[in-house]
Amino acid sequence: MHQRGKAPSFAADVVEEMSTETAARMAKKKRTQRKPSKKLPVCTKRDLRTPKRKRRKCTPPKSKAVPQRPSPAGAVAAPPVAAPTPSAFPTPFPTAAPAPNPSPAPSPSPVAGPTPVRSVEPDAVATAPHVGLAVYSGPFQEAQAQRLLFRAGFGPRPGQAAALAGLGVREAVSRLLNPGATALEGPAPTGGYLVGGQFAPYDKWGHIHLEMLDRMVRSTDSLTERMTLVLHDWFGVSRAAVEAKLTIEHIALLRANWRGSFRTLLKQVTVDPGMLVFLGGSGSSKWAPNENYARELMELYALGADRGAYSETDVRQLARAFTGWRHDWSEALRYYNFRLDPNRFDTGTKTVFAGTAAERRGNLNAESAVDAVVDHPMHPSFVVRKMWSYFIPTEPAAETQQALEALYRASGERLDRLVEAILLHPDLYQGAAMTKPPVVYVAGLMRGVGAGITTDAWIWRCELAGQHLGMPPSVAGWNDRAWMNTSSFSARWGMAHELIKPKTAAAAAYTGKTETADQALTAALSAWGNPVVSADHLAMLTRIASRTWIGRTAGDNYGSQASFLANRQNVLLQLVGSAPDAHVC
Amino acid sequence: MNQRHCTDYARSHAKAGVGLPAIEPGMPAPAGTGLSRRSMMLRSLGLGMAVYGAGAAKSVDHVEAAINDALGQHKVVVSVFVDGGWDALSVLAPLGSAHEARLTTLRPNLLGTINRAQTSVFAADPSLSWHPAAAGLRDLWNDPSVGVAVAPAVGYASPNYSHFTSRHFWEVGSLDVGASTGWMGRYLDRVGRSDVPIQGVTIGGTLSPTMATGSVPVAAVSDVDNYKYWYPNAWGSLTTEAMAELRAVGSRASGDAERDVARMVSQASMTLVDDLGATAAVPQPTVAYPADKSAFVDGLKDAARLLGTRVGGNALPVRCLALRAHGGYDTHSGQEPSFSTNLRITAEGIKAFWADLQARGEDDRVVMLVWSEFGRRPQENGSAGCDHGAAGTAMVIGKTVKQGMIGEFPGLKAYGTVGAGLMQDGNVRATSDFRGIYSALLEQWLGTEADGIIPGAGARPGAGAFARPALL
Repeated sequence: MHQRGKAPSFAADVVEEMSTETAARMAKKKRTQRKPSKKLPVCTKRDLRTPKRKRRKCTPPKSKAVPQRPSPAGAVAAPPVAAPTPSAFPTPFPTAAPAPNPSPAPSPSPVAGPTPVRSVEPDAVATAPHVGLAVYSGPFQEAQAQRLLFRAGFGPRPGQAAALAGLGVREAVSRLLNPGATALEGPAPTGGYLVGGQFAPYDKWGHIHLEMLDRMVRSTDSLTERMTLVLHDWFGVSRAAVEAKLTIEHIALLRANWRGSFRTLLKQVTVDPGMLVFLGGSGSSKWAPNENYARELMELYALGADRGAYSETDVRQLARAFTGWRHDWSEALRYYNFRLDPNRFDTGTKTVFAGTAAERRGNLNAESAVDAVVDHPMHPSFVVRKMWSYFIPTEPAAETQQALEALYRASGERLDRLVEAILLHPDLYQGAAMTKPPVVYVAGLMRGVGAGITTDAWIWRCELAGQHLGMPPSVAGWNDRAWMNTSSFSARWGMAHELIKPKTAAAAAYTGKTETADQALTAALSAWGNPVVSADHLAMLTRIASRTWIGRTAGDNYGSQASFLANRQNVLLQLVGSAPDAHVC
Repeated sequence: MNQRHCTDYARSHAKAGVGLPAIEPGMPAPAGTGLSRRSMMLRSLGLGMAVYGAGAAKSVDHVEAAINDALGQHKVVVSVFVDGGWDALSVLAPLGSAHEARLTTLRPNLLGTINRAQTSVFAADPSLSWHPAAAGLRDLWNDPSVGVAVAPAVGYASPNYSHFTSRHFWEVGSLDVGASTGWMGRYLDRVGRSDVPIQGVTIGGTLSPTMATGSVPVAAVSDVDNYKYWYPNAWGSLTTEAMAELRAVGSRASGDAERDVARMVSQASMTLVDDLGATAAVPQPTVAYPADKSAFVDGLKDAARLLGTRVGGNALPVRCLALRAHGGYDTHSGQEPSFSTNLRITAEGIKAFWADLQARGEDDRVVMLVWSEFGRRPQENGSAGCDHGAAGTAMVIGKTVKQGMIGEFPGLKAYGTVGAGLMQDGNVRATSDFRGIYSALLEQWLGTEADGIIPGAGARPGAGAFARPALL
């Protein structure tokens, strides 16, 4: 509406497009869903458009996890996603994406004080207008498609960017969000570090990293793997402080639930055994509340530090709501039997955000405490800015920020809706380049060159570059704005070196032959899967490719023109993969 | 594993030549600073341009140029960060009779973990005793050829109990959550050069935020012997030409902030190769370091060799070095045995480093600062550990450093009593300000005004807000 040029507004075309999709989804659900237990009709699209207070009585349609469809022939089925909630653990909160009923699950005692007004209407988003959300309408060619694939995944396989470019930005984003059957494609891991041909993440150091990296390289659902990385970074649970099993289950929880409501995910994470151990929530009692989780929930996960969203008093008050959790431990079973012990739970009245619009008073428990934080008026702005920063290195314009906040709230805090809008935004395609995180860089190289995991050297190589998956450096995750320094540059160089070495040329291949600069350049780019390279990068490569045998001396130790040409090709191979511009997308 | 969470509590990490990024990815601008991340990025870009404008892209003779410029060897500050908030009340335990009753009440269990027979009374305040695992530091204190100044209760007013925020304050040298350059970074910006990344070296994979600069390049290196850029099955003049390309790209600004950081890092990396090539030829230490497997100990050896490197008879232009002490010290639960192990390796490592510097004849140009983001709470918790506290222990070590105390130990008397050492929240009251120590290092050791580097330091002499200890 207010876009420059012919850029379509979200309110017009996109909404129409989404509406169709939503309608189809809802129709499908109608067929598969059980009848609501209450004798209320399922809300129609029109109902959902109507403000909640004026709406006839109806049940919001149930959303569900992305279905696992059978794999196409030739593709290896992805390993099943581990159950998000271990069997030894009670399930106090729903594990599926948005609950059909917005009212909270029963609490030890009812929450007094103001009742939160919130709408959990996951599918209503498509029908709500979001003024100010632009959709990219410029050229969507291979370069733009490659950027999208690197921001929302791990870069293109050879030809993938070109194929995507033909579809246009909306269809491209839609494909990322709806990848169909999930499978692992490409060379399966090999090597002596495997146990029975498999990774052994529960037992062997670094195999959490290798298994995640393998999925990044091979999964057909790149966006899910990327969002798993984003949320792993967001929550920071580390193998350094939590045993492998709980770390693996924590990451599986994130992978299985990223598409749903962030409110629900926060509730799941709050009582996830990995998190309960990580931030000392398990063991926190009414006699000695541990402030750790309450603090980080507000500071790092949901509200943000130093912006006046909460006080030290709120930390202490909220900590009381998270008391009572405990577990047992034995040499044989390790951590087990995570549970809420009513005797250790503080049943008193807690008051958080006192004196502000967000004030909540009552016998808050883990679930209603998360609700209090998510209902805080400063929560959407935090999530929007943090999520945006994973995809776009510059800040959103104020109107974009506001529209995304509205979208986030209206969708029932759905992360997939927010991510979709960010991936469609012009700033992603027209704005500044962004540094690839180390694992994105290396997974991108592997996808381009067609390699699989053949060595566990990827543990220490990625660690040197600054990213050991499963081992975020702190509860705040990795610092995604500080990947590059002289040490990590050297580590990244080694990664490209390791991957391209098998493709290097030998002098014998050039015996009696000549090669033009163009031919040399074409061969080097082709070995890496023909990535789109920047103009400056291409100019650098062209200068090297244009070097000639003439004038080389004995001191160079080339010995022959054939040896020189092989050397030239091999230098080019390294520079395609590791010149500075290859580290941004 | 006694850490409740992880080992790195950085509020933010440094980027080469462009200071610290925003407080946290996606974190809204700190209240009151008026600094958005967008403006941070724009500022980064502007600073990047300033570097390019200075005409970077120097040839391999930059080392010589820098040395000529320096007219001799630089004085060096080595920062050793003790990560997680070490338990100051164990490092120098208040075992004296003046504190005994209180200590027994506050720490019945933790007190029992200290083998009193192996402690040694701290001469400057006999009510304190060196922890058995701190024997390496005690030996340095007793060594007449090395001076040690101990701040037994260093901190700042209105202490912050977040690892991230408190560490950030120490790193940037002010109580400003929005500050984007480190205190050593600002020193390097004042005296350093635009083409000498080795002037500020972090031993490790991540740049220390203490030396986040605004304009000049700095370096991080994990292993000085293996800082190499190999080409696969390629050698000779072609690789030299490729290196020249990777150096030259640093002077071509694209206007994209992050792309330009990558280009600048490429240039700095190629420059660093030359410097470290010289260091690789420097012999390994002849003195004995702790035999434990430790990145800190390996880093100390590398640091000593860096300082011992000579090119044409001249030292490398190193001005600041940063390392992280062995282990994590966030001992919320099960403080022992990890605390003793980590402290022992750290203390023995530091002792060996000074012997190494003496053996190499470099000890007269180095001062070391050992610091942590805070001390821990005097009242132990129910998990055989203790929680985040306020004032902690820092040490300044050097050949010409004056042995003694920076501020006194305030005791453990409860808030509201006469001579209270504890604040209302039960944490130790600070008797010295870390910014005073920084100011003293700058003015007395490095010979430059603290004013302009440490916010609020004021102009010398005596006009500043922070009392400067007499370090030298």
